[in-house]
Amino acid sequence: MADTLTPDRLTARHVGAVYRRALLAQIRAITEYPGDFWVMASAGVMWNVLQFAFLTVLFAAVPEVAGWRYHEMLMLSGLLTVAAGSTAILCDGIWSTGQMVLKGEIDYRMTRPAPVVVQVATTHIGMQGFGEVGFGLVMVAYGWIGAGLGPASLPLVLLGIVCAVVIECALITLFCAVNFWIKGPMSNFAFVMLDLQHHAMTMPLGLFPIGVKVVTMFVVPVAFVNFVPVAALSGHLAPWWVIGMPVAAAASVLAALGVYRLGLRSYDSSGH
Amino acid sequence: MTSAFAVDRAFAAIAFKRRLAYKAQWVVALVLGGGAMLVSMAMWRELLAGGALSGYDWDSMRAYIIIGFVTATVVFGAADWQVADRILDGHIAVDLTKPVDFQRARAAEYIGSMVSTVPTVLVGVLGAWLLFDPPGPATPLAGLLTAVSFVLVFPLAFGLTYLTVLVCFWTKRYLGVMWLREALLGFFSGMVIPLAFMPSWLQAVAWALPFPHFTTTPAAIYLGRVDTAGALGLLAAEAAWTLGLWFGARIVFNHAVKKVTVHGG
Amino acid sequence: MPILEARSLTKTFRRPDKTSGFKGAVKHLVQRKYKNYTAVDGIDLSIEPGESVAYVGPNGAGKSTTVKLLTGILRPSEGTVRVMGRDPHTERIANAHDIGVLFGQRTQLWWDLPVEESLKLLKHMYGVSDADYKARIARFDELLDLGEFMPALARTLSLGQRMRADLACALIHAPKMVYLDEPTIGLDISVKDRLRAFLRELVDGGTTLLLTSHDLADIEEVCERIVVIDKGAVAYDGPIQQLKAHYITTKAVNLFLEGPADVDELKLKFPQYEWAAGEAPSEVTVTYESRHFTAAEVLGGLTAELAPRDLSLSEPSIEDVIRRLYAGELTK
Repeated sequence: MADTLTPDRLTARHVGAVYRRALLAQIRAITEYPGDFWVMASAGVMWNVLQFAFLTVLFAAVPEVAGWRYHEMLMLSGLLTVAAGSTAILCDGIWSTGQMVLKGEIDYRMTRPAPVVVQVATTHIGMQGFGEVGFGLVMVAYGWIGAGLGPASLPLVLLGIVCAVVIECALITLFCAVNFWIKGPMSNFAFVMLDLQHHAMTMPLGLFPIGVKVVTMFVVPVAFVNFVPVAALSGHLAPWWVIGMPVAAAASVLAALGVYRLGLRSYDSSGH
Repeated sequence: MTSAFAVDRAFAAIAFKRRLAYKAQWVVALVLGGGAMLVSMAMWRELLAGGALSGYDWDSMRAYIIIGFVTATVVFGAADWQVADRILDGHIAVDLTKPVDFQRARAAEYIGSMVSTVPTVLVGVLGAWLLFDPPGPATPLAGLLTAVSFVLVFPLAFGLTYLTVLVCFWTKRYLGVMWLREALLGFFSGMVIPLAFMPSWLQAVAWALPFPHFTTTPAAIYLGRVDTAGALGLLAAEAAWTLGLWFGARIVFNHAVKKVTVHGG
Repeated sequence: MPILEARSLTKTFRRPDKTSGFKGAVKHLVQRKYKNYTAVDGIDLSIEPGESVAYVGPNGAGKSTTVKLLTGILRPSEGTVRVMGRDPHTERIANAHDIGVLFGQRTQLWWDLPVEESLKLLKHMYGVSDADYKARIARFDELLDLGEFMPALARTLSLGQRMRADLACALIHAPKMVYLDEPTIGLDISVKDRLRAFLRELVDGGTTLLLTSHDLADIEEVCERIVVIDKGAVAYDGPIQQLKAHYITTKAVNLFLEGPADVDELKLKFPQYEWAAGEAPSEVTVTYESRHFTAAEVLGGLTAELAPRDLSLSEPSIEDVIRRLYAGELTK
């Protein structure tokens, strides 16, 4: 009764296939509640329409904020929205880590031949992500064209988007994994990070004290999600800063996987 | 008097205590509200360094931002989920068999949960006061009327929240509805940017909605941007919205509850 | 060579001694106080391929913790576990292919997805071939009637349906070693009967089974060997039949008399037996040592004297034995 495939170690191909199938199953399940899909997707769009409106209203009164102009600020907001919206599509389930630890729902996932982090990440899809990514891309494109950046910068924009998505997913995973130790149903650390990003990182870093810059670049590298790529594109930072994006992405992924793994080691299940 | 509101008080007290149990939420609310406040302060200090914009100088903007923090903390920190969960998990069928008015009971609970955010507000305001030293109210009377408008925010927030929570009779989840409401509230209340910066047509849209009373009304009274008659007018409008939403919610609820009784929850 | 071997398996939980919530957590970071609590205390267990082992004990005895240690969910504080020669925690992935797990209190179905989608996801996760998958689903359908709720969303299933679907999930990759923790909890009699028949078949097919249950009928019908644990340690380990033969030494007969039974009088008349009043006034239960008396002796004497209208024999119950084991009345 031997199965055809019983690898002792996970291959990237197997993990990728498990991830893809679990996510596709979730996407198919969306059709079960079309009403919710539209409410969630339009909520995602609405946040960003209003962010767009805020910037438009603001820049009708002022020419620039800390040296940043309207279209650059649009890209800043747009890129963050694309990154945050992507996490809702790609790894929304990771927000349940705390809940699962509390209820012992990691148990089954540890008995299956696939990484636990992948299994947890794919338990849910945040349907607002579709609206956020869609409208975020519109904002990025509108800002990019409006700022007069030529097609030559397109590869850099694409690299920026990919790195932004990777960093954002990794950092949210990392902060959700805190709940392995500080038990609770709410992923407060990830939530605080995301909310502070939406407030502070949609602004030029020059507004804030130097400490903020250091922390967002070198401690919790959220600056590499949107600030660094847009600043490098628009000349606020030297071009060589773009090297930092893939570096930050790799570091964030390694840190997130490491912390999640440590969390699983100290996992005590529940109800002994 | 005591007996007439005994039940409401009990509901409010339970909701208040339940919120107190989540001590982590206080810290989270303070970090989130405080963070947003600091970002706004940083931005406006930079923008207003060269002088007033749309009638706001750096002095008045500091008070404005703190007022926005107060209402944001109270409104976003309330336990709207509890009402939504009752509808989504079918608990409402049990509630309807109880000899209490559903809407009134939820109002008491909701307001109880709003009161539990007061410690966060106090700490935040105290910190902001020490850091930014905002100007006092334009007149003592303006200060008093500002307090009245803050008090009215409690039932107004309930009416708005409850009306949107009732959408859960038609959806499976509440999150999206909540986000929509919070996004609209943040923008049209003037929390994100004062309404005075908006083009007149957008201001007209805002004033046709209940949202401005969450920030613009108390701020305008406090800063003396309206005279006493204007302040009373704003308070009247705020009160009218409170009543309108309360009775509007009753109509929607009666309609929605037919769904429950027909489909058995 | 045993398929599963645990040596002096111990799990001590270090519980932070703190108040809950964020403030408590922060305080705890500064003070660091812990309480220790030993859930599993030096258990030795060895299971040969094809065995079906019942793992029983009172609530809080450490059953679930043992299962979690054996399946690699928890790391042992001391001692070792080997499943097919591997450490199930550090070699989690390789081990996963060989084991199937069911926790009756929880589901492993994807809550918002149809049952069929969950099974398909597991098929791919375990790398089960299409042909094997089809054959196994057909068999599960035949024995567990999966078909009727394959398209249903997991959250809409009844408890019995959910448990059958979970069983299919645990077995879809034909694991060699299967752990079932309370697989019949909360189910009604007809579903229980079905599950037991299914498990019996599984064991007959050569699968090794470790089962915990509060329902001793599960154990008697499915398992041959029983391990009783109490307070984290093994209290008995051996064949169920032997446990019965060894400890069930008394038998009982219910007598239904024509008139009301006078228990005190009967005690005087037949002091060699134990007497107890029955449910009805005319009913009486007599208990005797089967080592000293034969049924013929007992019944011959009693029927001649009392002329009962009717009588019934009570089946010896393993439940009594285990209850007495828990109570510490019996020792190995």
